[in-house]
Amino acid sequence: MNAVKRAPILALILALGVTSSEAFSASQAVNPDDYPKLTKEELGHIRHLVKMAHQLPGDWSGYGSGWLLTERTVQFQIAFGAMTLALAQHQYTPAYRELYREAIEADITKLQHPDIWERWFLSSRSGARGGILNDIGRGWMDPIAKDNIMLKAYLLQLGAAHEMLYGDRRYDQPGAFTFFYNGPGMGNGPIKFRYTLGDIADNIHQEVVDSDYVGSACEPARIFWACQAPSSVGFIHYDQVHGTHYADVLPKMKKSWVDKGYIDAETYRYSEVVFTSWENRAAGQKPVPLSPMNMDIGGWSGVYNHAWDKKFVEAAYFGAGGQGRDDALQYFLSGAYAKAPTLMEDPGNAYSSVSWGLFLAYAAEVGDRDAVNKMLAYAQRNYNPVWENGEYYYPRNDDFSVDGQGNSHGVDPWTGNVFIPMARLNTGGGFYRLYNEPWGEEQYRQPYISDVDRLLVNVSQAFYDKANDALIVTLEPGPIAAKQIQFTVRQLDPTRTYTVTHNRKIVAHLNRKSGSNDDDASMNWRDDGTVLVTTKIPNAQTFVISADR
Amino acid sequence: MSAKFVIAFVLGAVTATVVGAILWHRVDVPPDRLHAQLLAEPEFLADHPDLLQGAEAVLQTRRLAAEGAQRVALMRGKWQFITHPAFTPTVGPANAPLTLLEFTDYTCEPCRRSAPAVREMVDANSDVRVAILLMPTGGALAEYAARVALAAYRQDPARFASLHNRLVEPEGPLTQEGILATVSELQYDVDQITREANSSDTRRYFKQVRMFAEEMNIIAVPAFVLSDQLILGGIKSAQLDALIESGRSASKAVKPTAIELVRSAEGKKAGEE
Repeated sequence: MNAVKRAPILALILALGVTSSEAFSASQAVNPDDYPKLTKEELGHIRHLVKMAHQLPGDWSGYGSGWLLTERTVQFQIAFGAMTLALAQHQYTPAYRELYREAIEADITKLQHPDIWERWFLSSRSGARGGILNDIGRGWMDPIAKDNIMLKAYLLQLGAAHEMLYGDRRYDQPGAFTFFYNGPGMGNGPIKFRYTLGDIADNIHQEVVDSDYVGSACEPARIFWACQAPSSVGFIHYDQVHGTHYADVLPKMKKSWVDKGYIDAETYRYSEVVFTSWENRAAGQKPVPLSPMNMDIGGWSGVYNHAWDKKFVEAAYFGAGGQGRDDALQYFLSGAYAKAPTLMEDPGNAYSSVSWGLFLAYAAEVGDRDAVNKMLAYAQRNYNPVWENGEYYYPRNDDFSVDGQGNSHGVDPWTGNVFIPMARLNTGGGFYRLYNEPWGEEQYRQPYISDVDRLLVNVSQAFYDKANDALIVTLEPGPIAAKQIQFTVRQLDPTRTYTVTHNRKIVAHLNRKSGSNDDDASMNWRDDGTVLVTTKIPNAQTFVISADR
Repeated sequence: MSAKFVIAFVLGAVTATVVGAILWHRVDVPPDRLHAQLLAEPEFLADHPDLLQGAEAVLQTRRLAAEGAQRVALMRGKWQFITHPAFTPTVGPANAPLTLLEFTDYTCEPCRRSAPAVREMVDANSDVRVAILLMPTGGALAEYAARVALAAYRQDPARFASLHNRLVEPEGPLTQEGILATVSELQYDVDQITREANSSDTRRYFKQVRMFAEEMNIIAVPAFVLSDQLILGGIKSAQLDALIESGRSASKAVKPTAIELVRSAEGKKAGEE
């Protein structure tokens, strides 16, 4: 063959080589290690939270606490558990949604269970009110109409987070939140209280305004700073989705608390609760004595308020002069927390574990990994974590005695099921990012995976990298062993060709005309435009599907 | 004209007036005239908000009644579907006139303790079959055991009772390996069962069972349903016998069909109008 004839052939070979090496370069440029990935323990925590979310209605096993204060123990666990899942969804597996979405929806449904919301009837009837009443008041049943921020704030927070994450407006529909009261006794008919997410947002917003920007009350005439936090950030997501301006009240609330002396912005001390007139929340306001913002229920507000008041919340965590954090850490690692005086409704001192967990969650959100690591080490040493059916959590333990080395083994379920997992998953600013990096149409249209059998598989990584136009997915064996599993890839561009790597080896170029097959996995484009992936799963399997340029 | 005549006339006129007034107030205004009048004078309703509130209460009552009737009809339809031996694992004669629903989980301790009573009841009563509604609530292993059981039933219903009894009362702790060993010992095609157990059809089945249970307000396992009676929690032989007997009595009574229930609700609505 003469040189003239060879030249085009050589040129073709060269072109093919350049093209495939470009494709090779593109896919090799994507290193799965560069993307967020869940550890074994984190996967176990998530599996436990998902399991609990899907327990039968009225099955509260695993939730129960020794802290017997009416509605507090279960509903807060449900809400914080759902937000832990939302954080994991947002930060770790944005391209795998069904597991988290269904669990968050189940948690929102749980908050409307009579066991949860009907407790409001008792709370609304108050108590002795400082000795001026001889009997409890008339109260009211409607859990949204007035006060009760301790439920409706979480409905707003979870519903708005769901809207932001999934672009789904189900909670805007009439009756999306329905509380069905079936009065006992002959002749009493049922009553339904029906609200939309917008109704709840509007209701809370109005109560904040009417209270002179102090906030919406928990029990009647009691306004807690901590309890404003979930609705405050709920406003943020709601505004992002709907274009409203409810969150405009947040700086006004902060200013109101500071101006009235309920928050001391110099010393980072605050009143946990402000009592108000029974008739008018803007009148007769009396704060309790100031206490440090990083202790007790300080983390309750800190974890979420970090999203809109970052600098102040971080400063409050460390306290004036920075000593507050060290004092708090010492308090929790020395076992002193477990020796705190018990409350009337908490004879077993379960609240001490809650305060431990709240500080841990706060430390995680502000990015104090040193404190988090020390507290997690304390938990590993003392709180007896268990693996059960692929779930990882710290079971309830009511023994709060402290040994000579400062170790206490008591665990409240809120801490063992939720706060420790939340802190493990939150590597710093997790909620800040959740509220400041919202998803929208762009994210909803990106490639993602679905139809994963969660019995057989843990998805430790599912991330779409827009800059590289690459989908990175890692699957780990689930609690039930399987030789082979399948999942679906959706929203790839059917007009393009994708280079597929499996466990860091290029295995194919995938397009509508040709699938991909190696010894362990195959990919086939289906008529509906989705791609079915079948793979063996003896250990972690990583796929990178990157569009050829 | 005599005085008697005058008195009689006056009395008659007064009586007629009084009776006429009474009758006038007792005659209902025809609905179409009332409707036309209110249409022409909407201010009347606006000025009497108590009427609007009353109407809203009636509307809500009707809505709830209609929802209730629809729910009953839906439940009866779903019941027949979800308890059918072609769809749900069944022990006992497939054509038995009485169907006991058992919601169960292979890792649930009270379910295990109830198993002997259920087994003895099936052996002793040829007119009862048990629809085993597998509702795993205990985590991954519970779900796996349920999936395998369903797949085994679909492969060979005849051998299901043996497998079910060994899963619900295992000799040692339930494990994935143990479950597969049991399936193999009973000479099922293990590979086919594994494929079926991991299929999306199987996952869909459990979602349907779960939805059905929630609609029926089943909040725990085990739960036993026969006719209109529900027993939540573990069951002993005497209780189960009583349940079967009451089911037999109830089956002899004439019951309305779902369609009749809906029509009855609609009829009441029409009557109110």
